[in-house]
Amino acid sequence: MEYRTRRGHRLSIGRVPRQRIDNFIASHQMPEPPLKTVEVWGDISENVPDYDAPEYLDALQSYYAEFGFAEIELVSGAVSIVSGTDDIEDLQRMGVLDTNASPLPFITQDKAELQSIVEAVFYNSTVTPQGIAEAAEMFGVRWQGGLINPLIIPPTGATANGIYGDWIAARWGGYRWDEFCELAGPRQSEIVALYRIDNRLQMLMIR
Amino acid sequence: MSGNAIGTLKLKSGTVLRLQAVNPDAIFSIYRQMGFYEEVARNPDFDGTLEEWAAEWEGNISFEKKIAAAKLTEQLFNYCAGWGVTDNPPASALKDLQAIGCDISTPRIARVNWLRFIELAEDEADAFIGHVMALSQLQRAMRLQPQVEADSKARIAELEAEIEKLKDGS
Repeated sequence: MEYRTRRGHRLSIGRVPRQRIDNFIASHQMPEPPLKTVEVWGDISENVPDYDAPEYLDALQSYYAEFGFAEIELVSGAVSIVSGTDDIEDLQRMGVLDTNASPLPFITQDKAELQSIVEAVFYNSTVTPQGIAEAAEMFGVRWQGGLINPLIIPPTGATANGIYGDWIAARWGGYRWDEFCELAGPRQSEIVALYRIDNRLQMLMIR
Repeated sequence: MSGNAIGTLKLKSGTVLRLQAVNPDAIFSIYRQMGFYEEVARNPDFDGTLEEWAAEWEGNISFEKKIAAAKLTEQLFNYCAGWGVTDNPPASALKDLQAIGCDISTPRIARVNWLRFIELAEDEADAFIGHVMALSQLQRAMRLQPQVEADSKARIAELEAEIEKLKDGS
């Protein structure tokens, strides 16, 4: 996949092993807000999350800053600069850019463009909302005229990390987990979309 | 030195530099590479002015950190001069740079050396960096506002569509 930055660099977007993305997500859990006690009715009080606690806001700010840089480092290895490398050579010669630091912030115009590159690498590597939406569009499965949207998962009361659903879908599709991870991102998304649509159809038909 | 308009900077030498915004994430990346990550990630919790905060911070840091801070300033200057300025050195300046043995092998490196050795007075470098960084942050803020509004509208439309679909039972 090719990508052209607004500054004119041509990039070739590859993929990172899916397990690295899963490990990355697992190791970057968002900070939890502290609890505060509030009076809800008469003498009855309840502990509720304090989203305005200064230490929580500080932790959140640090988390997002670190997460952003770590995400860029994660995808950097999958992005090669096809043209416009003179920028990078100048940065390295002047000592502005370490050889082990990601050049992506230096060749993009803003955060949105950086995010697009991160999303493109994720799209190639793992299950993504974009991949699932494309698969749903391709399958075109409708129920009473409405397209079944596999991005919407009806609430069941049970919760799990995203990887659980992907793992079940992989098994449903006849793949071992390591085989599934080797597939290209859009192919993984297709299997997950197919699994979710099939489940939804069965549920609707039973109902 | 004075800033005539947000995109220009008049130097003591009389030269008016035309500035352009750089990606603030690149600036953060330089801070991070030089080990000043905490300073970027957290807002200073201080009641005084930014200058007072900087003075107190400088007073409290180790000698090694001071050396790193000087190195950081140098790298920020290189980046802001090479990428945050659209003017190129005149031919006469290039000759002068060559005469004193400066590298002018690429336009950006020539621009950095032109500003460092010829145009900017010693006490103008910090303000020059500050000007490019402020311009970059300002441009980001101006871009972000309509984007935030558009994102909110798009999300509301998306949620309304989801509600409609759930009502249909699909």
